[in-house]
Amino acid sequence: MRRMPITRSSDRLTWLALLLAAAAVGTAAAAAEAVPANASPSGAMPAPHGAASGGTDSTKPDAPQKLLDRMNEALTSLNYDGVFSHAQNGEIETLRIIHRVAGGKVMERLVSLDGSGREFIRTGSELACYLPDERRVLVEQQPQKSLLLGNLPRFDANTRRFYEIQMGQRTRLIGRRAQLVLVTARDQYRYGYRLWIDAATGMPLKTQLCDGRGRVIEQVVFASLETPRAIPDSAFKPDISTAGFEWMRQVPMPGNARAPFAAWYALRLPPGFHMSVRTEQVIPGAGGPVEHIVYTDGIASVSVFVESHMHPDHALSGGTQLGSSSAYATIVDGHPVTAVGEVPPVTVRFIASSVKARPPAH
Amino acid sequence: MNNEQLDSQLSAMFDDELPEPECELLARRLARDEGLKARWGRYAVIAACIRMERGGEAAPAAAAARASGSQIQASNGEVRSAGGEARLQRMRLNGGVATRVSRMIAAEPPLLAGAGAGRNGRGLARPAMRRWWQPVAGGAAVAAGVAAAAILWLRAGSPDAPIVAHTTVLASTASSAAPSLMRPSGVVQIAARSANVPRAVQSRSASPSTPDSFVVPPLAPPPSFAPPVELANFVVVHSEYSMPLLRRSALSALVAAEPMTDDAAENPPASERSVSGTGDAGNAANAPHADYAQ
Repeated sequence: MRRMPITRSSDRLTWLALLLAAAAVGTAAAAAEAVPANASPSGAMPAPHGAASGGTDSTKPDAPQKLLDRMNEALTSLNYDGVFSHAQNGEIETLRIIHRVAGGKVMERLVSLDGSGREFIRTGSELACYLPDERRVLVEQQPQKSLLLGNLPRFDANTRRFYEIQMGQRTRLIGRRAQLVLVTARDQYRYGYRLWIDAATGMPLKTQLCDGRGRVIEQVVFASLETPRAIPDSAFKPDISTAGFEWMRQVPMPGNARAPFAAWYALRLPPGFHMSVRTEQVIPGAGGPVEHIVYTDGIASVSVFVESHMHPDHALSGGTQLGSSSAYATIVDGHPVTAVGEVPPVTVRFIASSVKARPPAH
Repeated sequence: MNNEQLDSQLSAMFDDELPEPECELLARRLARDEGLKARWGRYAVIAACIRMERGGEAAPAAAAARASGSQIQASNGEVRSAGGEARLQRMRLNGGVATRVSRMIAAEPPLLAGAGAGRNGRGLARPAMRRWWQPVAGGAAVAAGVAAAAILWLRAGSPDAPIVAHTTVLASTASSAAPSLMRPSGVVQIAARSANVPRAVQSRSASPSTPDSFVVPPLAPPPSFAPPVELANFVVVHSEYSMPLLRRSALSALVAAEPMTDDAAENPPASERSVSGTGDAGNAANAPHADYAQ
């Protein structure tokens, strides 16, 4: 059995390193903007003393936001190896996640421990899916993105108009000190979050996604979590032997296939959402390059995909949910439009339904 | 659970008569159990063959047979790569159904692109057959689906598709049928190289005479539910722009959770889900026993 050589583009990796660096700077900058002059020294753990009673820490109104920033940074820049349970829809699945950033290169492995045994392994911009039950490995190259800043949501003043962010209780989880941060949506267009953030590392030890009535719709709880200084390469090899597996990889579209686009936009947006990214994607299954617009409220984000033309295979229509993501698909002027995001169904429907083509500017 | 029970569950699953929760359990087990997996490979063959036999009249049955034959060819390729020639050999010895399968494998000429596709509606109109082919109804888009896509696989797909069979069809089509079905503007091409499907895959211009290529009959009405393939791709692309926490969440959901449709109207009517004819289970259940008797 031959395998396609799996090549790695050093350009992409360099770019990714840049992106990571930029993102880190970006979040730091965002945090700095929001921090008044009397805020605690940067770099220090925003000490939640005084917040232990569960109320808002009035003396440090930005402490919870800084914690969230720190959490995002921890998730993207730390080395970690943990086992967590993912509960949703009454189903609980145990997964292991291993994440490493070394030499500007991100490695990540997500394994289902008690399900199909399938794995995602991300190496830089390449995502490989191991499907032991199909004896196949699928390799996907993430399309190149032209953004540097702005892909990470930033918490800003706007965010606080639509979410109430409070310190919760301090507690212990898996032997670690954790600080609960409550992010409560102020309207029905977004979900709320309860985040138990590790005081030592900034990692979320437990997270709950809540709907408008405070009901938990998704929960992730770490059963173990380590943040090793180094993680060996062997940790990013699949558990299963891939001998005899069939390797399949997506061949990227040639660079000249760029099609002229009408500028699409959402005529109306739910309160608090604004456009953060506009780009073009090559998405398998879509009938050509796809215009991709990202709207965010600072925490949640919604992607709108506008396909260049109808294609006979297009069959997305109406609303659906996948995990904590909602999706809504419709057709606008003969273009398939799909909105996807970690928001309630009403939000993706709202956005998808208001997408219009901007008349060509002359 | 003993082998016999597993076998009958497996066959029930292929005939879409296994309740959904049990399907899921079985699918999970399938992922872990090598022996069961091997049986599954043969089941794909056998189930297709049985359906074909019950296809009734000669004309539609023949058309379906050719399609199924190609399918079987692909399936067998998997079996071969998985377990070596010996396993295939055993299957050849298996009289009746399996013999017929082998004969088809050996003798069946490749299907011409599009040939017989839309015309044998009669054979395909039967719910079981339609279900069998449904994953490919989306044509190239589905077949060309990717990583993300394939992930939704087991439990997703058409709500009424036989869970595992679904992936078989999807996978075998992805490698060989995609190029010929691709629209001229086709964006994505999956290049796969394996011992099974070398020629069909290495070139987009895989000619109709390529032995390994086949074409899956398209279905008249596109399914009204969202195919998870395209959606999964969107979710993965979107996740790159999400907050890291939510990104992990989205990917976990892809690994772990079953997509659900909140709009009941988007699901096919319940009648579509039930399978006609209880004879399926009987036939299919018998076959593997014979297979294993040796």
